[in-house]
Amino acid sequence: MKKARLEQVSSLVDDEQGGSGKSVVDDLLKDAESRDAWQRYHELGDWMRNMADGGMVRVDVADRVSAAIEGEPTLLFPVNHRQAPISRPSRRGWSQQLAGIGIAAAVATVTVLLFQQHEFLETEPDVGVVAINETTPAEKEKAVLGPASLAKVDASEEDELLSGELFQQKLDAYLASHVKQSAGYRAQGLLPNIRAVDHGGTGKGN
Amino acid sequence: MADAPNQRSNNSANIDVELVRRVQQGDKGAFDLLVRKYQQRVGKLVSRFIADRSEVEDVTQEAFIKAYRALPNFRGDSAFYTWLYRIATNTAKNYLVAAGRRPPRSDVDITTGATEQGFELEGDQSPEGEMASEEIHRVIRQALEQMPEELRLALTMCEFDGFSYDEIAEVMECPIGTVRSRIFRARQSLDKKLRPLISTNEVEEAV
Repeated sequence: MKKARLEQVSSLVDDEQGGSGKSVVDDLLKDAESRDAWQRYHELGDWMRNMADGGMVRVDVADRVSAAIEGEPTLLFPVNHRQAPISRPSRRGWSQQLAGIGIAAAVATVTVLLFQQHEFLETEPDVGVVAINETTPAEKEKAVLGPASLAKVDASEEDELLSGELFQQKLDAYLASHVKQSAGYRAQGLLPNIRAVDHGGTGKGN
Repeated sequence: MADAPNQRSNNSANIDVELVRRVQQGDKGAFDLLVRKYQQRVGKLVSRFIADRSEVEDVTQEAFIKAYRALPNFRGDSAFYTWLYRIATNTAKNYLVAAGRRPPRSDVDITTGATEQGFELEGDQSPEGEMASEEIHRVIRQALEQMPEELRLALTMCEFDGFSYDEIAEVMECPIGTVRSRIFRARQSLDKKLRPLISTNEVEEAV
């Protein structure tokens, strides 16, 4: 038992304890014999390495220093070492959390949009998805802005779409559906992602 | 034989970090372990500036106390022993200035104790000091000669060459556990013969 303990101290002198080093340090702090072996093994090494030059003075100030710092205030401050191990799992945790939030938000957005489109198709079979008829770069840019944009349409369709009460009812139904879905996906407060083009006079945008 | 304090100091970086961390969390006992580990090397460094043995002890003690007080400023940018040696060097120089003596004009190499001009400073040149050193070295040589070869090889590769246990195991073609055991047994053997010469207070009290 004692031999095994001292062998561990010998390994610790060479910093060869690996993962169990901390527990050996705990033992060192508790056990006077281990502490003494720690000092002597280091001193043996010092004497061996100094055999070539011979210029070594033996000093033993451990007890004096220990007594002197007994009266010193205890050091208590956060560890801020470059060499101190950094908690990698914690850093991974942050990145994982951020990635998770991002993925969840993306999935929720796509689901909401798909669901909206699906419902729009189901409730508006006669109108359908209005095809984007690109005419100018500016209008192309506008079309890209919204996933369910209503862009430039044919005049006849436009008249049909924007003809009075029917359009307003459909738009109201869509907005009501959106609010209901938003509540389900905890996306309250988000404006409906739709843009209607007002071509003057008869149009009722947004 | 080669003087290899560099290798040993580098090998000891991890345990130093652990001990410093503990001191910074309020464990004064961990600082005691650092003192026990480095007191001979700091004493040797101080003796390059100061010849008188009792003065060397006083300045060494002062250097460690200054290091303890300065530990809140130690951020681990350099190795602990380098930082400690810098404090010891400044403490020794300041001591000489305060005593009205002139400190050496060039800095001391922390690993060899040599100055930039290539010579070593004073050291302990007293007859008693020389005799004690000679006796210790004689006993070490004798103990190493009488030691089984595998123990001597393992210990000298570790202490003189700064080899890791892995490297020694590779050279000696044996398991790392065997290296650990051989180095320990070699130390025990040396310790037994050197105890009368370098015994610590605790051992003297215990015996």
